[in-house]
Amino acid sequence: MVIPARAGTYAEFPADLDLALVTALNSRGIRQLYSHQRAAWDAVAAGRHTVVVTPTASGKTLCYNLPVLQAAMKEHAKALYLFPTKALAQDQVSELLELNKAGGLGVRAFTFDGDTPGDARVAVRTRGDIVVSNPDMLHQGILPHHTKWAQFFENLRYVVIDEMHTYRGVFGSHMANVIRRLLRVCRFYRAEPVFIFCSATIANPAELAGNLLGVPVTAITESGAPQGEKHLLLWNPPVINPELGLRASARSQTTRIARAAIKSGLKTIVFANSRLMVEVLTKYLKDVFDNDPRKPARVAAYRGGYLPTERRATEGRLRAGTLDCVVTTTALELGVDIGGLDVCILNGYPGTIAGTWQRLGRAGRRNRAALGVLVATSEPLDQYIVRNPEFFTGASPEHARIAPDQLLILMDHVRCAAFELPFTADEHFGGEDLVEMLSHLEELGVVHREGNRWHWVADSYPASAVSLRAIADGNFVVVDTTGGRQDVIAEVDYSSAALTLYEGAIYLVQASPWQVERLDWKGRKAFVTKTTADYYTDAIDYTKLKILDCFEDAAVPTAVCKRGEVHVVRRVSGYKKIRYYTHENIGYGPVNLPDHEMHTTAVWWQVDPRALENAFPNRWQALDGFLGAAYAIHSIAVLLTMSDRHDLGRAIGDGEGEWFATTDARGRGKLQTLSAEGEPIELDAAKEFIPTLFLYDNYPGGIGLSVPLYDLRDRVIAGARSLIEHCGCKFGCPACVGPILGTDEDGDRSPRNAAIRILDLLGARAG
Amino acid sequence: MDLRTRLRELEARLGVGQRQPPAVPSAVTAENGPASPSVPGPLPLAARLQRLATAQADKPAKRAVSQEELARIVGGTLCAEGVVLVEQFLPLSHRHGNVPFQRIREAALDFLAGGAEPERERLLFIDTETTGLSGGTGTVAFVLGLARIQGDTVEVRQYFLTCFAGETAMLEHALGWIDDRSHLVSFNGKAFDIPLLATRYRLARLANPFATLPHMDLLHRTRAAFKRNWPDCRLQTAEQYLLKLFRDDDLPGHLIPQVWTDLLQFGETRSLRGVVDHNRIDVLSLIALAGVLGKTYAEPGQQYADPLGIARAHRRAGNQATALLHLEDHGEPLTDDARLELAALYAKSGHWDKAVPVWEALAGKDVLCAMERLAIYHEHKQKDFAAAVHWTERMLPLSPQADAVEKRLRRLARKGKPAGGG
Repeated sequence: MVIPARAGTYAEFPADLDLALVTALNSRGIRQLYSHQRAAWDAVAAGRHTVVVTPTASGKTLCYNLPVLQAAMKEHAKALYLFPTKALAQDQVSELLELNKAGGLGVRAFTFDGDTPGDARVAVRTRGDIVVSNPDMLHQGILPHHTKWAQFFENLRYVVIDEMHTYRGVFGSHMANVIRRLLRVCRFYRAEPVFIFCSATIANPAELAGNLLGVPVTAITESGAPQGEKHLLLWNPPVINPELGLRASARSQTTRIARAAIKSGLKTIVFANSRLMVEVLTKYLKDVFDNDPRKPARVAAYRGGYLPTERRATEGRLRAGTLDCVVTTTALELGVDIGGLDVCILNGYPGTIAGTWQRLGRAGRRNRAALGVLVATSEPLDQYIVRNPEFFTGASPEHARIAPDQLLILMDHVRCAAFELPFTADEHFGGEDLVEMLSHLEELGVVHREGNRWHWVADSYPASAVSLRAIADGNFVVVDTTGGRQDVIAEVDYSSAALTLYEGAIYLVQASPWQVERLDWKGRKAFVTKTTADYYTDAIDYTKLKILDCFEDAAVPTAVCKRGEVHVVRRVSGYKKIRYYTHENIGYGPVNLPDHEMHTTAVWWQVDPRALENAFPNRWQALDGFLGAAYAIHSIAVLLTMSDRHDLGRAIGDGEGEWFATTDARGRGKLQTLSAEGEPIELDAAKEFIPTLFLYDNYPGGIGLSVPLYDLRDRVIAGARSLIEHCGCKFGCPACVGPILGTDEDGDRSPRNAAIRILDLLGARAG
Repeated sequence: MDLRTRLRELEARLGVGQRQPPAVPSAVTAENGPASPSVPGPLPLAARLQRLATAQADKPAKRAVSQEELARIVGGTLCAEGVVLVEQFLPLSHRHGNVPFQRIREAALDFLAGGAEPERERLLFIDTETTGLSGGTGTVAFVLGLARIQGDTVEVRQYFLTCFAGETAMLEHALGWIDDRSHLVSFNGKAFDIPLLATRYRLARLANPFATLPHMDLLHRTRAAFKRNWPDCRLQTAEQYLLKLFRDDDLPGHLIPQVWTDLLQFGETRSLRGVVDHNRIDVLSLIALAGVLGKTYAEPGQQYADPLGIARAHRRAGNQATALLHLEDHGEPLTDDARLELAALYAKSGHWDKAVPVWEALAGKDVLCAMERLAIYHEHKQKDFAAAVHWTERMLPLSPQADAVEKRLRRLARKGKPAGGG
């Protein structure tokens, strides 16, 4: 697929643009502006909060740098830049400094993040015209110490928030609250900054910016930048088993394409969607290219969890061109400067169109012909995307959503805000009743009410207990104890620790295997030793749900759909050992870890028991249909609510937490029902059989996904049915109902037909 | 479900507990006057049991305590709405522990002050009690203790907040003793008390009075002079060693934040007097300690003093002669490290004749660093390459960086050749 070139539209420099700035721009070869840059200038000059939506490499930084530099030079106004990552912030400062130098502008820009040395901080606070930081630092380092920044806040004129589309879901909901706190502190210093947002292409930029800021934001969506040709190859691995609809694995295809590219001397970047896949792909490529230990490595892995020094070293080697291939996760998606690359291979659809473009943007930055390859996995969403390439050419279908009033998140930030400045009764913070929230905190003894003011009184620093990016606090460190060593080799966030650091797990760093010998759950430490195992491990986890409360429901003749609160228990019960290359299962091990429990909101469907009995000869087949339908529904729901796959959980059970159905973790199709204790049980024919299909919001308290999901229930069911109906397989496959077993290949009883039958019952298209 | 119920359920699941009313563990009361346990440690079992028992009890209704009553409890008078002022006057001859305050007039303070001898009347001794140690905008100083010297008298002013609303008045009232010629004296005030107070002034929309004031932080000087000889360098440790002051019923510092929140939330007053007394001892100790420390840095051979730390501090400040004096006249045998410092000082001032014997003695004890000094001395100063080779070879089996030693040997061999051949 070729995205055609497009000519640019231009505009004059604004008449009031400072001459020194004009000189600086001219010296860098810029003699006029793109139309969107001029539109941004005009909107910002009129004092309007603005969001600029532009594709990669369209000169978006000038949209905010021009007004900011002008104000800094003429009025000593200050600006705060926020980027989602430290690395991006550092790149931005070097760019600003170049422009500053070119024009002799005398504007001082500094980064302020965890790496800023203590003695430099005072200078940043008092002398910086532009401070470049990240949300986490604003949250933990700046706002709770705002008095040290008094001068800065008093003169704060602009707040720039780049990569706005990354602020969605949990992170975005936290971000909206950090902005509420920032505005509160600004009010204390009587500053009213104008916000400038920049975003990759999404469907609802003005809405997202407005939700983040709490007031309407002007959107500039027409890019005036010319665009070169882009080559995008959508690669669907060949079908190797037409009966089952099984395709060759994306992993093998990605490795093949990467091998060919590296052998042709092309600098290659490979994106994978999980840390585990990064390690597996790295191993496969290292086996080919790095089998001579005397030569420097040609292939490296780069992902979150590696130590900063290791990551900086890899970035340096990429820039220097001494590395031929890097395998990475989203860690490298956002503008870390790694120089120009020739080929970008995506092992699997990244989950969003915006994310796909951003990753593809890694190749060909320096006006070189570049190739992007999206290798589809057998995941339904991948198959759906490669069959509908218009997603890449038409308008963005993606709506970024946040839930800033999610109660746990909101309360976290009410605490932080109370620490920063006492609350008064006439204030508002978010959509909930502030006085009630404060009264609750008063009961907990962390704030004290005196007259109409609430003061923080606890002996603690609440921001340090709140992470903007993760559900629970407390990263795990991985400690290498090989031969009596005590070296920290990696960090793992709390939410994935149970899935990757159980005792017996093979933990991979740069494709070298370590085995977890001991996990100190309370101390957040995993002790590992080097091993030579030829297998990797994969956790087996299962989920049971119990319905607590129903908020709303809607019935069709044969089924009912409800929305309400549920209690979720997730347990890692064991793990499998999987041999490299052959992927055979060579053993199991038990895992004893605390359950992960939460209370959240969900949408669930139940079929009328009699209709169900009439439609299926036995309960096993009905359950099979439910599992297949759930698989398809999950895929469509993720697409429609623009969430990540793991933002939504799915489960089949009875709704009472007494039994639930599961396939084995890799979805190899073995259906079983388990009791609440996780023991296999038989379904008693005497009891009423009401299987319940759940899609739950995978975040304690819910992040606001269940409402749109409930409202879209008809489209979800119809979409799931269409997904299965139009799938090329005969009996069901990973692209529609999930992986199936060979024994399921029976036309009428196939999982595919069973799932369609369930969806017809749910959608009341009874046949 | 209403908001509060939802919150409670969410937090119950996350294990966030409700704050329970206090069980004040130390037996300090207004009746038995100042202050108790000398070592802060785990609470005694009785107190822990008592705490458990109270934890099960229902939350008591808040007892209303009038400001006048609070003033009486802490032994002061209301100086503004929400602020109790506790004043005390002591003669300069008064002994704090076994050290008379007078000592501060006799001792040289120029080194501690980092420059000229400060005027004693300008010194402002300062210490706070706060709602926490984490710093940031959410920590409040609810006791502000100040002391100064006027003629033959030590004057102490302590402010005690009875509520948040009194803070601005307290900060304004304290300005009566602070002007642009004040010289601050504190114990860890550079890192803690002063930034915290600056934040409070800022939040009250008052100018920060400390921004340009000179500041003598006694913690740093105490550490340099004593850390090798003491278990730790807390103020109370310094009091015990240097002032022979042992606090009997003192309130442990880590319990202090709770005392004030218990007053606000439950009207609990039992330990208030203890906090104010604790703060007063802190402030008075600053005066006595400044005198002793001044002497420690001015005169060699003071008890417990580590000559190496003191010499290094003087050397860094550019006082080489004083540094040398402290090492030479220490009176007791020096450690190897101190002797190395001594030799380095000799070498720096060109007294090689004094430096070399020290190094040679240390080299005889296999002190690697001394051998290296000797090797360097013989190579570069004396051009005696044979001697340099001798010391370098002795380093070889001891050095963890054999590569560097061998490199030096090769260089010496090259240098030695023409001399040996010619």
